Amino acid sequence: MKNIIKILLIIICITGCETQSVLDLPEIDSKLVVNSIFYADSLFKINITSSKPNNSKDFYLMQKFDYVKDATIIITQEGISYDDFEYKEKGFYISKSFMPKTSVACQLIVNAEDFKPVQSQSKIPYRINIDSIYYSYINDPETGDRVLKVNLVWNDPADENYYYIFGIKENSEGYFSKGTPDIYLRNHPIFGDWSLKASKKLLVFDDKIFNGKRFNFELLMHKESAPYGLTIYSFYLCHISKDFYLWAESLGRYSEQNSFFDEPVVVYSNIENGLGIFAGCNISADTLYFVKP
Amino acid sequence: MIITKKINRKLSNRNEITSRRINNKFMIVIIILFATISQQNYSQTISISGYVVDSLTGESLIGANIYTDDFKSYTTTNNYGYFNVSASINSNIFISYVGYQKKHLHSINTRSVFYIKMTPTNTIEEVEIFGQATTNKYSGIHTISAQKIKSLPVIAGETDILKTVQLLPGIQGGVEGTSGFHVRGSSPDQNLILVDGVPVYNINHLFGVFSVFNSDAINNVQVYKGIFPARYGGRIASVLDITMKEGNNQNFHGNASIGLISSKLLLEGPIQNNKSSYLFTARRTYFDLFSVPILWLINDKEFTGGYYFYDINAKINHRINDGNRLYFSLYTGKDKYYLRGNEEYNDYDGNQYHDKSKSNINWNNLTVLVRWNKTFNNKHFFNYSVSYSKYLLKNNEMWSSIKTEDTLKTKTEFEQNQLSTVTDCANVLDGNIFVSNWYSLKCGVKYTLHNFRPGNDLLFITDIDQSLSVDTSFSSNDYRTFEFNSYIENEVKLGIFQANIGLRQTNYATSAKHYNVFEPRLLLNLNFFESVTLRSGYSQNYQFIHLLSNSTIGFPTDQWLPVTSAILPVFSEQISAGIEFRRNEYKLCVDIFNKEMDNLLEFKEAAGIAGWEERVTQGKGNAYGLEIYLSKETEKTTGWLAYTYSVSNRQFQELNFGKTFPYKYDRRHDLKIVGIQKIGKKWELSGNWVFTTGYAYTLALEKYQSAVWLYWDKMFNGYSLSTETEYIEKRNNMRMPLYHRLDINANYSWERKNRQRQLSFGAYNIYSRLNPIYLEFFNGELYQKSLLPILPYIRYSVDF
Repeated sequence: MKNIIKILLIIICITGCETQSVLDLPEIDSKLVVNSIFYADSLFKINITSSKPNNSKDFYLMQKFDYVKDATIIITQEGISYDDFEYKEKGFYISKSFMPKTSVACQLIVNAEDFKPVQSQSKIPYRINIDSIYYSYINDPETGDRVLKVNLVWNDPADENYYYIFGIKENSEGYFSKGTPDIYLRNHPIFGDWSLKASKKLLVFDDKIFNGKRFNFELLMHKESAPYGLTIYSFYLCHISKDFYLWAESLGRYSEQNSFFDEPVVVYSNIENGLGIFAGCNISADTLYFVKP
Repeated sequence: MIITKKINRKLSNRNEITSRRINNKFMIVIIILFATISQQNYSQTISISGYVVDSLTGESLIGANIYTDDFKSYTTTNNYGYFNVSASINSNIFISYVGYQKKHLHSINTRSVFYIKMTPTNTIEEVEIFGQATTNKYSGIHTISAQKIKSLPVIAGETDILKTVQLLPGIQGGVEGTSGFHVRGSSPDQNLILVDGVPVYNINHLFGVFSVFNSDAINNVQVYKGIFPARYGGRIASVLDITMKEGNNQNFHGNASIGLISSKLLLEGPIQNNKSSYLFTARRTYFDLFSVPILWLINDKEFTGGYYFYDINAKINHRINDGNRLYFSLYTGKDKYYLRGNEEYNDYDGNQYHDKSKSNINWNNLTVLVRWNKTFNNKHFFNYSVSYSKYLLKNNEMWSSIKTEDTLKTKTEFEQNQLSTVTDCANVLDGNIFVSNWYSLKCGVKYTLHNFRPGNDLLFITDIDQSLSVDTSFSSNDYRTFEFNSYIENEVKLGIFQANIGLRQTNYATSAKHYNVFEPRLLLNLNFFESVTLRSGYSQNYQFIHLLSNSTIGFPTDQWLPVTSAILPVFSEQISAGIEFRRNEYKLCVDIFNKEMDNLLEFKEAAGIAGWEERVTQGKGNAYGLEIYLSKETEKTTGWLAYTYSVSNRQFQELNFGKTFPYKYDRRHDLKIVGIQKIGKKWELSGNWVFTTGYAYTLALEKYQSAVWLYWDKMFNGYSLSTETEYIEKRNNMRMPLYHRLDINANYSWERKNRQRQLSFGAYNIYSRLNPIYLEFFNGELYQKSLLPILPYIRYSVDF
C-alpha cells in the first residue's frame, strides 16, 4: 500500500495542470472585399482588396491587405452597364462616366483572377430634408449650466422603416478654429447619453420610435466649449438603406470592443461570395451660425 | 399551447387587482377540492400509513415501494419517508427498497400507522420488476442514491453529486471539470437546485471545479429533466431536489476522511433515542495552508496568497409524536481567494515608500430551514416550512502607500469594494392528501420575498491632506420582488393509466410591473404488460430570475437578477414522449423531447461585463433531441449507457442579424458509459467514459479591410479604410475538438479495531486527454488551453 501511495504522489507532482496545444484552422480561400459607399450625382468610386486568413503571417510582417488591381467591375443601372473603371491607387477604382441616380437600383459584379466573382445590389435612398433648425439658451436641468439647445426637425415617412446617420461639422473663423464644441445628448430615448467630443462618432439610428412622425431632434451644446467669434455648424442628415444601417451599426459595435470579456461582433456584409459593403446614401444639410463674443 | 401562452401574456398585462381576484378564485377552488375529497368515505378498505426508515440509522428511505401481495395497492414513500396506502382488510403488505431486506406485514386488519425499519443487506438486492405494481417513474425523472454518488470516480477524490448528474442522458456538462450542467439545451441558471426544499443560488466551489454539496450529508437526489410536477417552479430546465440526511437516531456515528485537497468530518447521533437526532458535516480544503508560507518565502516576504473553501451542514430533527415532526436544517459554505502584499523601497531621491496591498474575493451561501410535518388522520400529510437563503459575493481591493520624505510622512489609500447579494425569505405550506389508491392530491402555497443587490461598488480614495478624497457609491439599486405561488397536483393511477396532472400559478411583483402566469403540467404513463411503459409529458414553465454571466466556467462574478419592466420572464414549453422496457435486471428507456424557449437573455454584441439592463437582449431558443438509457443493476454489477442526440439553437433579434445560431453548449452527440463492479466483500471498482461533441464558439477565420465611415471627420472627406476587421461568418461558427475522457475509481474497505475503513483511489482522465477549456489566438496560431490532464487521487476514511 505504501508503494501505491508513493507512486500516486509522484504522478501528481509530475503532471502539470495547464497544458497547451496548437489546433489546425480550416483552410480558408481568400475573398474579394468590396467597399463602396456612393452618393447621387458624383462619379462612382469603389475600393477592392482581398481578405486574408486570420492566422496569416503577413499581419505580423506589416504586410496588411493586398490591393486587387486587375478587377473587372460592371455596374448596371436602369439596364445600362458601365465598365469604364480606372484603377487609381490603394485598391480604388473610379468610373469615368457613371454617376448613380437616386432611388434606382444598382447591380454590381466584380471579377478578379483567383477569386470567386462577387455581386451585390443597392440604391441611393431619396433625400429626407431637415425642415427647420432653431436654437435657444436654457439651463441644463442637471448641471445648471447655461447651454445652447439646438432643435432639428424633420418628417419621417410612414410607409416603411427608415434609417439615418446624423453628423455635425464645425467651421470656425474664431480663435480656436480647430476646436469642436461639446454637443451632447442626455437621457435621449434613442441614444441615451452621448457626447460628440467623447465619441466623435456619427449617430446611426432607425425610426423605430418615431416612425411616420415629425421628429424633433434636440441637442445641447456647451457654449463655453465653442470657439470665440463666428462658428458655422453644419448638420447633416443622411438617409441610408437597411444594408447600410446594419453594416454601420455592426461596425460601430465592432469598434467598441475593448476587452477579453466582450461578446464577439458579427460585422454585416451585403456582398455575395465576398465581404464588405455596397450601399448608397443621400445627405441633406442645414447650417447654424453661432457667434461667441 | 400557444393559446395558453397568449392567455398568460394577457393575464400578465392586467392590473394587480384583477390578478388578486384570479388568485383568490384559484385558492377557493383548491380549498373546495380539498374539503370535498377529504369528506369521502372509503369503507371497503383500511388505510395503512407510516414511515419507512433504515433500521441502523433511522434515516428516512425515500422512494421505497409499498405494495400488497395481489399488487392491487401500491405506493412509494415521499421525501420524508412517509406513505399511505389503502388495502383490503387482512392484506399482506410488502415493503422493498434497493439494498435492504424486503419487509412483510402480515394480515393487516386495522387502520394503523407503522414505523417500518428496513435492514440493509451487505449486498445489493436485485431490483424487483413487478410491472403494474410498481409506481413507474415519469418521463425524464432519475433518482440517485448517496451510495451511487460515492462509488463513482471523481476529481481529486471529492465525490460530487453534480458530476454524477452529468452522467445521465440529456444532461451535459459545461466547460471541462465544472459543476454547471445543461439540461436539454438549456443554460445552467435554468436548473432549480433545492437542498431540503430551499433553493441554492451558487453551486460552485473553486470556480466550478467542485460543487458545494458534501456527499456525506446527502440522503437522496431526484432529477427532473424539464417536465416536472406542479409543486416545482421558478426555473425552466430541470429540478435537482437534494434531500439531506437527518442523522442517526439509533447510535452515535462518525466518519473522518482525508484527501489530497480536503478533509471531511461527519458526526451524527441521537439526541433522544428514536425521537430526535442530529447531523453535522464539515469539509475544508487546505491549498492555503501550503500556498501562504511557500509564496511568502519565494517572494522575499513581499507577496503571498491563498484559496480555500469550506462547507458546513447541520440538521436536527425531532419526532414529537406519530403525527408531528420538526426539522431544522442549515447549510453554509464559503470560498475565499486572497492576496497580500507588503513592500518597502526607496526612490532615486532617497524617499522611502511602504506599500501594502490586499485583495479578497469571497462568495458564500447560507440556507436555513425550519420545517414542521403534520399528519392528520393518516391520509393528510402537511408540511409547513420557513426558509432563508442568501448568496453573497464580496470583492475587496485595498492599497495604501506611506511616503517618507525626510521626516514628513504622507499616506495615500485606495479601496474598492463590491458587494452582490441575493436573499430569499420564504413561507411554504404543502399538503398531500392520500384519497385512495387510485387518487392522491398535492397542493400548496408559497410566498417568497426576494432581494437582489446586483453589484454595489464603493470606491474610496484619499491622501493625507484629504485633497483627493473621493467617496463614490454607484450601482446602488436594490431590487425587491415578491413572489406568490400556488399549485395543485392530481396523481391518478387507474389500471394501466398513471398520470400526474397539475397546474401552477405564480404572481410575481416588481416595483414597476406585476406578472401573473399559469403553468400547466402533465405527466402520463401507460403501463403495458409487465415490462413496457409508454410515457409522455407536457409542461409550461416561467422563470423570473436571470443569471448574467460573462463566462460559463463558474466565475463568482456572475450576477443573479430579477425580471423588471424591461426584462421579461423566461418562458419554456416542453413536450416529451418515450418508452421504457424492463427485463430482469435490464432497463431500456428511449425518450424524445422538444422544447421552445422565449425571453432568453444574452449580452448584446460588444457588451462587456459592466452594466446590465441596457446591455442585454432577449430572444428565443429551441431544443429537441433523442435520449437512450440502457441500465443494468444487479447484486454485483451496476452500470448504464446514456446516449443523447440533441440540437439547441438560439434566435435573437439583436444578435447575428436575427438569424438562428447554435447555442454555445449545443452538443449534438453525447455518450456516457458508467460501470460499478463489486469484487468480493472488500473491493469495488468503477469507471466512466464520456464522449461528446465539442461545444460551439465564435472565431474569426478571416480579416479584411473595411471602410470607415462612422467618424464625423471621415464623413465629409469620403471614407477611408480601416487597418483590419475580423470576419465572423456567424455566431458560434466553430466547434471545439471532441471531448472525451475515462475516469476510474477503486474503493477498498476493511475493518480494523472494530472500525470500518475505506481507501479510495483512482484517476480523473486516466489517458490524459487534453480537452479544451478555452482557445486563444496568438501570433497567428490557435492555441487550445487544457486544464485537467490525468489527475490521480487518494482518500482515506474511517468510521467511528
